[in-house]
Amino acid sequence: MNTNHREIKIRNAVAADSEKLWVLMKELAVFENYIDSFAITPAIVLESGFKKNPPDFYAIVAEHGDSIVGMLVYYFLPYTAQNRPSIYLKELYVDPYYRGQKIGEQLMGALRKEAENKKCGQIKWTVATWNESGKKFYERLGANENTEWLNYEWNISL
Amino acid sequence: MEYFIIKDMENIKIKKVTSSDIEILQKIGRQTFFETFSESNTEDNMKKYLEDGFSAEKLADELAHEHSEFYFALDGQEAIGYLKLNTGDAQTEVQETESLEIERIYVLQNYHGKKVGQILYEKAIEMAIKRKSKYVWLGVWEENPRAINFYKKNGFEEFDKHVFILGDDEQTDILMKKML
Repeated sequence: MNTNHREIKIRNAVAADSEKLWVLMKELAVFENYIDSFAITPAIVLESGFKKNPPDFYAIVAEHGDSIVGMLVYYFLPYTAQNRPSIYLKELYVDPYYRGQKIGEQLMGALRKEAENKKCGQIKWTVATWNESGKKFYERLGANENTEWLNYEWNISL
Repeated sequence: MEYFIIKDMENIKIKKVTSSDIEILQKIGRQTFFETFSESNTEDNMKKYLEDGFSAEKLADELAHEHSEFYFALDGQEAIGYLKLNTGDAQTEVQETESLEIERIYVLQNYHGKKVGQILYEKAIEMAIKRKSKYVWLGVWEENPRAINFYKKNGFEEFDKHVFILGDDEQTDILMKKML
């Protein structure tokens, strides 16, 4: 099968992408070392992202032929002091085999357009302290590290 | 009114089966096959299949095949289910090179209803997507409605039938596939 000539297509994810999104989410969980607590199944992706209204997350995918080779998952933070919504970028992942083709840039570009369309004031996210190529990538895009605020969390056990 | 709460298994791990796991594979292979088919088949046919179909030599050959993979579902250290996947020329029917066959998903009867089969099934889908298979297919015995419904619920459709021999009895498998 010759798919090399095919273009990478950036589009919003649809329900039929659930299983392929799940596989990339799982790969990201391995990469970022939280696979032991990863509790997502394909059915959960389908329900949370595509059946629920409003959905718990939105996703943009990079498609090559029949394959999903990159994904970006985000949600909105509707209320901010500036009275404009923010976008929280939850996950960005590109299949290692497809890196170096500006797929991450294209996904981030699509997210930026979405933020503009929804009149958002900001897109924010976190990056693992050890993820040097991630940091470089975000800086190359023109994003800045936030050095004014620290992340805190309070874990709740059931 | 009575309420039954079936607790899903929370800590099922999937582990790839290696050549050092043959005895465990043989044990769970025989037990699950017996539990699934003994009621609907003669004792002689069962005995013959359990001996021949799960001999250590046969399992070692299957494991060594470069286009076959086995996975255990583990509850702690105990194997409670297993999965066998085939691609390329390991597939039991001639298909395309870009397809993936789920040859077997079996779960010990005591663990039915706890989503173990679903977890093994999802492993199969994960492997198929990772290797960019066009579709996943499988054969399921026509008198196994539980399995047929499971695959239908997961988006599979019938596309063919296939006759196989159990002992000296002819039986029919329904072939089902799901495009990825």
